[in-house]
Amino acid sequence: MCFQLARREDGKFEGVTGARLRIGLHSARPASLVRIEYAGAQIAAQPFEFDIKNGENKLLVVVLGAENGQEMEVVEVAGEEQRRLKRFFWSQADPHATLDLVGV
Amino acid sequence: MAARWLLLLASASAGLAAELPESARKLLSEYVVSRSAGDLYDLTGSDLVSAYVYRRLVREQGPERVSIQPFRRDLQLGSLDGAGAGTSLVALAGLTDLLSVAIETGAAVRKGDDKAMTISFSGLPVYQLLSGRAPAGCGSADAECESGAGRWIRGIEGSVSLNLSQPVTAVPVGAGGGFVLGGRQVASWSVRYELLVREREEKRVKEALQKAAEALREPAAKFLKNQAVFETKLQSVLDAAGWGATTRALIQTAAARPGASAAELEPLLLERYRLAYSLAVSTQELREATALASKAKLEYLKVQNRELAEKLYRKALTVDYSQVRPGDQPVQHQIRVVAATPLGGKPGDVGESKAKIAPSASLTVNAGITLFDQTGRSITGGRVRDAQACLGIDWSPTSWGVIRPTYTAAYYFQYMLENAAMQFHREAVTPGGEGASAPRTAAAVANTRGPIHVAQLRVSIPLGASGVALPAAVSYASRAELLTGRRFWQGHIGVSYDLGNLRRLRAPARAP
Repeated sequence: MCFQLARREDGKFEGVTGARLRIGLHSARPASLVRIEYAGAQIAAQPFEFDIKNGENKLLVVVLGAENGQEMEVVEVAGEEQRRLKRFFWSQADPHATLDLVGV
Repeated sequence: MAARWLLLLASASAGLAAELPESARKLLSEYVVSRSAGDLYDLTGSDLVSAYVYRRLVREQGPERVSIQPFRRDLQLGSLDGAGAGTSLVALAGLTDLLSVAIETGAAVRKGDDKAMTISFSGLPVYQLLSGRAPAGCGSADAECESGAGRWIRGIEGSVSLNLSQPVTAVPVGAGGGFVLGGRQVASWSVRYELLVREREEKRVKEALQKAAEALREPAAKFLKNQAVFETKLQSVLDAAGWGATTRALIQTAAARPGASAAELEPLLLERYRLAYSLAVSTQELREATALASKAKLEYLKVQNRELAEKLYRKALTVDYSQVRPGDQPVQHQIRVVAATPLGGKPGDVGESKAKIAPSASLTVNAGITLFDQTGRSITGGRVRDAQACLGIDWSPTSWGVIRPTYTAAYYFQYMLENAAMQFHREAVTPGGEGASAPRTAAAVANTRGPIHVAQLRVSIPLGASGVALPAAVSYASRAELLTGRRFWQGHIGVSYDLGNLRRLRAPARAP
């Protein structure tokens, strides 16, 4: 398997429309992915996997961490490998991260 | 409800603008080091901008502040002096998240019908007042307690117990009558620091988070839906105004200066977020989306924080100092440690709706020593007056309608290391109850060394979500502090009111 997304110069992530994308979470401390939303559809259980839609859509990822300020990464999972898409700092007041995906 | 949020948005003032979200501050620090294009873009992402918008709403309006009372059953609203007037032998770990008042009668170790009014408060609202902000406290859903001074000040608590009894407590002295003692107006005061102890074992943390995440999957649906709509609309407005590109260019330029630090860049980023906020409330459509998203987020945060409290922050450790001022004894200094932990199953494991009605239990342990003040030391010759230990088990069974009582069984042990010192104030010593004052304060030492055992059964009945609770207890003591060889029963009754619910009660009246 290969990674589907590439980050553009404007910071958005670009992928081929229709390609299947799997999202994961990486953190040095315990953390858990709760639910994601992409292009109006939501996924509430593993695998957090969906097909890239044409055009620009937001991918929202709600997570749960062990402590405020915990560093986390939204990663793209391809087989046994994973690659960082976005780094963010989780807190109880700000429990989600958003990525801009563009399907071409 | 959405209309209320719109009203809040419309009345927002720039003078109360929130600070940068902690997540944005941390990412900015990372960017200054990494100069990564990804981090730069993420600083202007719609998630961080919406976090600022939400934070600003909370800061300015404190909307729908949520009292922590429904989430915690280990809050003590009455007197902390287990031996004196009060309804609870055991000191619980927490006091209140805002302000509470309790009136209680009955002393467990000092035989008498003492009455006391106890005012308890949290340090955070006081700090907020002194900072020129609304004294909203911490609640359970805002970021005030997450970082900065609020994170540490939230643990500070205090209480003052005022003596409501008439100053005519009789102490039998011989067959001919007795002394009538005067009461002090302040029966006791306490300062304490409460630390919520997070689960530290990684394996347990992981399991707890997985369970909490499962419980949050459904509550997250509405939050995500509204948040996605809001951020999509916000992004359109920001892109049309060129906000993101301009902000990135400004930060990039500022960061390129020699010696540039994150602290120097923060005001710039904050200014840009303020501008984004202005754009976010610039149209009716966006204001409605902001209101819906913020409301849905708040609802999610309430559930999230309760899940975390139940699964991850289950234990509490409190250290307190009390100055105890019995009417008939010298002032005493008490230092105590309070530890509390839930027992058995975790209510959150059975789902949100059932969590409110599932039985729960907790264990509280106290240990402390009491020291004489200078007067007491000069009378008795000793410094450490007594040592105490107390164990209490709270049990909240299934609710009965809106009533969910908490039953407590407690055992208290006190060992009098020194004889007790009695003190008769000059102005109040009136032999036989007549009005003749003594020439000076009189003191006496009673032969009271040895153990004291007290057992207590208590019930506290909260009246729905009103903040009012009615505690009642009965205790049985092997002896009194000042009288040995005499066992006695004592009844206790009280009423308490947690003012943390005030905003909730007032909210419907303010709603348009």
